[in-house]
Amino acid sequence: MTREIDTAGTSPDPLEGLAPPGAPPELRARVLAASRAALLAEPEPRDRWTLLWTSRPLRLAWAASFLLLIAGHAALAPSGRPQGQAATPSLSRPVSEADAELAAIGHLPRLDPDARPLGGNPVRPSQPSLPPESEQPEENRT
Amino acid sequence: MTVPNAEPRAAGIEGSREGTAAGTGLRETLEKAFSALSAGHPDALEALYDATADRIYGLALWRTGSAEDASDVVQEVFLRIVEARSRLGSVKEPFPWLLGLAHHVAIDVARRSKRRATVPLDGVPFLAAAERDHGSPIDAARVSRLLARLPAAQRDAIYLRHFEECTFARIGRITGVPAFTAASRYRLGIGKLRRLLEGRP
Repeated sequence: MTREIDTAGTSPDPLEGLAPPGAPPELRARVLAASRAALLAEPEPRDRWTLLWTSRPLRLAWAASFLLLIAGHAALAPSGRPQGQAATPSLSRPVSEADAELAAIGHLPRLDPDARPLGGNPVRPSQPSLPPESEQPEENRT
Repeated sequence: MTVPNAEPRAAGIEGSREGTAAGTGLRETLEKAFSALSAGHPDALEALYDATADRIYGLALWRTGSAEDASDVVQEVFLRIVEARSRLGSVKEPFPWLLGLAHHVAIDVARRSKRRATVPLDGVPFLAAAERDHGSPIDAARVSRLLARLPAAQRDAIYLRHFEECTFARIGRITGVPAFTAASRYRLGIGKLRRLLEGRP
């Protein structure tokens, strides 16, 4: 199929009449002995993590479940929210009627400038309280 | 130290791997050996070794540039075959599978070996004269020295193309590159070898 690609030059074959050397004769006994020993040896028991790591179907299952989790997360994430908007409502946002009760519960009276003190007259924040006359310095007395 | 066999391996015996009677014979031999190994018969190792060891050794030698590393590759390949014996029955193309395994093991061994960084490849006998009475025999030692100047990937492509008669598509599958890349490596390598033989840089 790819013979036509092999058209490098018209000069004679530079490797004509040559061949790679064969394997050393003494290698045969060494390789066969090692291979035979490995073949006859009892296979080592492998733990579960090794099996998980070496098994191709299980690795594919790992990858598929990971991709499924990513896809599920992307599909089930809230999609109607504008980008960059926080999940909790902003304090500056006008409170809707549905949130009125929640806003009333969350209202802190002590931060309300019109709130009455317990059992007393309302405090006017515009008039700061003055110390009693006896406590004023003498140079200030008229 | 492992000394490479001084005699070249027999050229022409099962030389053509794809679509020929010799290639079919090799395939049948490997399929029988693989099925016997799957069944746990150690005697199949000998037939497998005799059919493939020289080729694995040659590919490993051309890749690693070291006779010792090439011997280690042969042993490692056979150990991996034994380890993978339960899956040998599902191998569709035994010989390309074996060459691919040898290629990857050779890369691993060359990476682990420290010799490749220090020893020049000039003395590596990549080739031996197969036909001494040829009309104009090419000096095997000289071509080996020139082959040492090629990148290992180009030597791989030349070896698989020239001595295993693989198509570029198959070379690509064995070496893990596209067929076009395999063809480019072969063309570049064989072109440079020709230029070096003619005395051009």
